Amino acid sequence: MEGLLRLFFRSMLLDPAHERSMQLLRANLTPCQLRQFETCSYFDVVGGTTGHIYRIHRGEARNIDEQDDAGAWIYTWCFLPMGRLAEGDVLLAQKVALESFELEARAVGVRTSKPSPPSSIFFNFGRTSRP
Amino acid sequence: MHTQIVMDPNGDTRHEFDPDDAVSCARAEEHFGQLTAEGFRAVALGRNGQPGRVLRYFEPSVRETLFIPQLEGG
Repeated sequence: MEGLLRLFFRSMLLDPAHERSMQLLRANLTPCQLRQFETCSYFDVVGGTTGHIYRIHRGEARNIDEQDDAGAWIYTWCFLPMGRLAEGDVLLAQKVALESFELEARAVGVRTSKPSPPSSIFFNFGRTSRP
Repeated sequence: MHTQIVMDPNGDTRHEFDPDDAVSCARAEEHFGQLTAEGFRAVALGRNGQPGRVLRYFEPSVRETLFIPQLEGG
């Protein structure tokens, strides 16, 4: 456990590439995105072509959610730049791609549907079955 | 000075060039061509995190160009 913690701190806090990539990311977020990122560990971007809203979470895979017109999170996307890049670079590449060449990013990305919320039939059944 | 920022395993590598100097610009244009031929996507970064603009050709007037490696599905 101690070894894992040491590895975590070394990789997340003391790795120069990680630090440098996070600086580059922070320098290229809007004030609103930066506030979101610092407080919630994610930030929202607007797709440059579709106008859809995407939420980019920290992490390097399957970390992008897409919202539908009604505001529901419907898909999770996975695409990232080739090569072993640090986390900040991956997040910035995802942001820039969605804002500046969204359709190309969607063309290479892997999309999965997010689990649907419980159906209204289930809720109606639950409500009507109680006395 | 204007800057070309290339994402790499070290975080990034920066190359500066003087937009008013022909030799410096020629070197930067050559660098631009090499990277895009390797599959990097060049984007003129927006101010204060605003959306950038994809560059098909070298533009010496762009202050900061970000080079992103080719994307792949995860």
